[in-house]
Amino acid sequence: MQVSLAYFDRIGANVIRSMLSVHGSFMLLVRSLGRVASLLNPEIRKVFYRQLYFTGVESVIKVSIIGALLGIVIITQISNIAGSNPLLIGKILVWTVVRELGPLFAAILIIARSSTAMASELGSMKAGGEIDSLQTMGIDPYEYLIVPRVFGVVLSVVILTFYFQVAAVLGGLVISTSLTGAAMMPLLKGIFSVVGLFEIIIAFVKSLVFGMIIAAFSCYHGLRVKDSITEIPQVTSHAVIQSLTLVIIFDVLITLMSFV
Amino acid sequence: MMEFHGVTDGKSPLMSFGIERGSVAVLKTASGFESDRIFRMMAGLDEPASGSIRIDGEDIFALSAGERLSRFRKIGIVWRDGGIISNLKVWENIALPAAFHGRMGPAEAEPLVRKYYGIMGNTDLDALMAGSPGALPRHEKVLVAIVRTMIMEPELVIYDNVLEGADRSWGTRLGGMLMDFHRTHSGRTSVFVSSSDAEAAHIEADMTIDTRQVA
Repeated sequence: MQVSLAYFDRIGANVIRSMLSVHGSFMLLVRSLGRVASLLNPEIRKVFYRQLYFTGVESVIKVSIIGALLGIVIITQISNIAGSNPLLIGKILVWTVVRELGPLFAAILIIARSSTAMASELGSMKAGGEIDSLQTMGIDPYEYLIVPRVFGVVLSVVILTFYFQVAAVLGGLVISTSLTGAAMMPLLKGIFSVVGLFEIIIAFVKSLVFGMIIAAFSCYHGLRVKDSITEIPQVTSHAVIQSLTLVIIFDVLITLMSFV
Repeated sequence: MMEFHGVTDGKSPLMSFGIERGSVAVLKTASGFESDRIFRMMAGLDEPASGSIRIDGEDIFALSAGERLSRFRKIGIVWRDGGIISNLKVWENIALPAAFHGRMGPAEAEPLVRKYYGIMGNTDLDALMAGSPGALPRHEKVLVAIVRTMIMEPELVIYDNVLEGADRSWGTRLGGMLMDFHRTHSGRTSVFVSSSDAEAAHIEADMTIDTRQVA
């Protein structure tokens, strides 16, 4: 009986820790969004541009290649099932890539690349006393370190999601027309007949929410480091797992809500 | 300018003393650990277990976090390891607070930086400024922090064991530069927290406070 209770204790403790993380990350996000005006400071804007470059610009090629490859896989599978029906191919491609896989895959790629980097960089700064050093210069560490990172990551996720979708659709189209000899125009017409404002809004909302989740959890966990650099691997791991979990949960929620 | 009223961090004896505006004070501590604790309290980072620390009559821990940040724009804090921001280049570290607070742009700051480094015998600055501070030895990191503080023209400067481990030549030049800087502004107060007698020898102090004797 004692063994069972200890097991439930551990589960309970983990649940409480997770809920505290979600709460802490949410409060960090709200605090950051409320301080958008701090981006007017040129030094804070430099940090924002740096984050945008690292998370966004440096990932464009990778995201585009993976998008194109995914588009090839999807359109090959669709063509097997649906034959050469351009309208049906267009519909399925839009549903899978624009509404679902585009925002989700772009978020996963950014979690893999930027979430770990941000959490470990902030953790290292915390352990090295740099946060204290900023305070003694009269610089709010929150405004200087967190706000530009949050906005930089959110903007990067939105833009990279768009790149991913375009690359996936184009990649799929090129392969489909090359392998099957089908004409591109009917396929393009099929796609454009299905892509409407609703699909674009859903994709945009998802990428916005995913960007906020990734930024909030990465920054929150990075700042949790206390004194030792040995805590850094733990916090980066938590940042990645929790970002991924919340992204998937919100993906399901937004998808369900879009069909209501 | 600065007053300690019955201050303790719970580990050290109670401290009560005052440092007048415009003076140079050396705070001699029993150990590096004590230096760190007292320095962190003076820098507004760790609240004392009891007592109050006042700057110009204001209890710095009675201020809100935002008010304390504003207050510390006019206070220079020089950490024993420099307090360098690791993801910025040396030049960016030096220019950060001045640029952030709109005090001075890079074009205005550059001649001052060259002047201070020139006093320390370093005139070949281009490679240094473009480099990462992580690879610099401790005394060079401290110099970055000192120059960063100087271009802000603070009214109060608190130095944490900045001359620790310096050889005679470096210590003499740096001590001289810090004293000259102190004198450029008649109301400037300079406080040196030091756990080493050798360090205190480079400073022309108006008053020396031994923390073991200030209950």
